[in-house]
Amino acid sequence: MGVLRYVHHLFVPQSSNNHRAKLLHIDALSICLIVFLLVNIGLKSVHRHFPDVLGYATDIYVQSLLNKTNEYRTNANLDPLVLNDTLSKAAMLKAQNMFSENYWAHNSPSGKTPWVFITQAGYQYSVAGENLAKNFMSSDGVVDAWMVSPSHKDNILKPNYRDVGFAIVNGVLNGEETTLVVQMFGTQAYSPPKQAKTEPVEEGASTNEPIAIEQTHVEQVRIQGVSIKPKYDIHLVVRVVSYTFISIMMVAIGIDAIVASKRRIVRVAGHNMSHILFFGVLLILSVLTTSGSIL
Amino acid sequence: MSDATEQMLNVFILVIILGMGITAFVNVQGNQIAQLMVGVIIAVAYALWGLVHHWTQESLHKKIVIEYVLIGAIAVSVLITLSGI
Repeated sequence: MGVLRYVHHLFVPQSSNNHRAKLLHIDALSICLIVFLLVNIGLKSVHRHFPDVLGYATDIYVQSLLNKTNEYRTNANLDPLVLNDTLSKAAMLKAQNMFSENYWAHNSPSGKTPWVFITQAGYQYSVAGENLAKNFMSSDGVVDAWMVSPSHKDNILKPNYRDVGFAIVNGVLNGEETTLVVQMFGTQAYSPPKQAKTEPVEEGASTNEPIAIEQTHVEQVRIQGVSIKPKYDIHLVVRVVSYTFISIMMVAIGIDAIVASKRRIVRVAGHNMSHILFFGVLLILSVLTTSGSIL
Repeated sequence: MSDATEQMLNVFILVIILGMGITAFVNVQGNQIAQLMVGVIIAVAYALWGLVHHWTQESLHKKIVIEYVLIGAIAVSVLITLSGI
């Protein structure tokens, strides 16, 4: 009975709360703010120390990234990109360098540009590009986020590119468990005739063997990916907490507005309708918040 | 200008501010820091709107100022938690 009365006190204007839902009083709003900040710190702390319990659920594979990228290119009437293992090696070198030098940028703190890794891997390019992503849940989510950004979309839909390489690497970046996705685009400065690539048998046994090895390696790269399933997905936990909190606030403001209007209560308080509108927008922003980050 | 017209105008301005905020938020999808910055701008704009609204209605009170600031701060803390920054 006591609990019910307290809930009533929190949500319904009455004499015990000075005719304003207790949840909307300044002291209660301050407590809400502090509690939410503590929840944020707590979740981050648990994630940092126990990433296998509360972590980012990730399911990203090279083949899916390639398919989704080529789906967008095909829809734009462009030739699909060919998975190139040298570019994938360059992407892997870049990802490893990001973890070792601990940075989230196209250029490393020591001044290494993406082109350094492409050249280092042995890919002689005439044009090249790079897209980066971190902490996404799925392959489609990564490519979709790139397509929303004009500069990343330009890379995906650039007609000049012929090859693409991917690296999906899990590690610790800025003290946090992170899944990095590196996508490298390029066109070789000298592209061998297509016939030599598609019909290696005609080149004879001596040239056939390295090509066969190369193709096998490409297959290994294709199935490469990262799949992490922590006990609790941090994306989901954070969203459930946020949506619940926003909904509770909207219910409190709604009940307060209806009761105050019915009883014609006059008091010094904020505009309930505008508060509801604002929390409604906050709910929309919460849904639209990107789970991962691109660069 | 009558009170009802002024109220309508104020609400219309708020809807425009929030609508522009949502559009900007969508436009920077994929960039968590930019999204958070847009979120902070929306929250500050809302708090300012509240203060101007109550000032024009001659109902601005210290309690109301704190209420709008706290609601804006709560919104920013929710967005910080969601963005994982």
